[in-house]
Amino acid sequence: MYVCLCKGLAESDIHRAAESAGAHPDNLILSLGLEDDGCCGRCVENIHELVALASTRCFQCPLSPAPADRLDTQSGALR
Amino acid sequence: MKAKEGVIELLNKILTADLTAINQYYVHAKMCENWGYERLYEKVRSRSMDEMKDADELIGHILYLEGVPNVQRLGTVHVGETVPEQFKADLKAEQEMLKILTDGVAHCAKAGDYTTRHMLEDMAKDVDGHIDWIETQMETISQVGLENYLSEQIKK
Repeated sequence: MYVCLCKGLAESDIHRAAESAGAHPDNLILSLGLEDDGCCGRCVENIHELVALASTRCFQCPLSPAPADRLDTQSGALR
Repeated sequence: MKAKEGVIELLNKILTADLTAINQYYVHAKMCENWGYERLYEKVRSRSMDEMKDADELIGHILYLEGVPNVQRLGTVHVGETVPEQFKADLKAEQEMLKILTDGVAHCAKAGDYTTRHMLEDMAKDVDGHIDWIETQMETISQVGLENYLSEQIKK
């Protein structure tokens, strides 16, 4: 899914940004440029949704690790 | 004619959902066209047009009831990156629309506005048809597989 149409950001972009800059709201806003001119401001308003998204595993980018609490340590599968 | 209590607000709420749906379906249709899925493009585009006809009717009715149609407000447009994601997003939008419409029908019945009530009932019928179509597509995909489904969408 696209999460931001102003910037054309998909879920995978959020995961990538969270990985390089961290999933803190301020880091996401800055690294993704969510306060740039021409942005509608919805993402900043609902930044907690992006933070939540950043902390779930993305199946499109194999780099992003699964959060420890959702990972079955024995089988390696997601709960 | 003066509107009954809460009817203008209700109609504007439906108009917002409608204007949002027009955009969402139109982007999805154009993405399908861009991917070469001509059949799907035609179908999704016509759903966007259906929403536009509803918006036309709503704006006319709000003006008739001496209200101001709020064409400024827009909900969140959910755009899927793939065809199944698009169906998922559209299904959610249609289900939300159906909820607003059925609540609206109940409100109009209580307020004694039977013209608006019939209009909303007709719209709800269309939404039911859209939901049925999307659910059918999702079921077909699960039965024949996404590749087979999409290859059937290439030609008109």
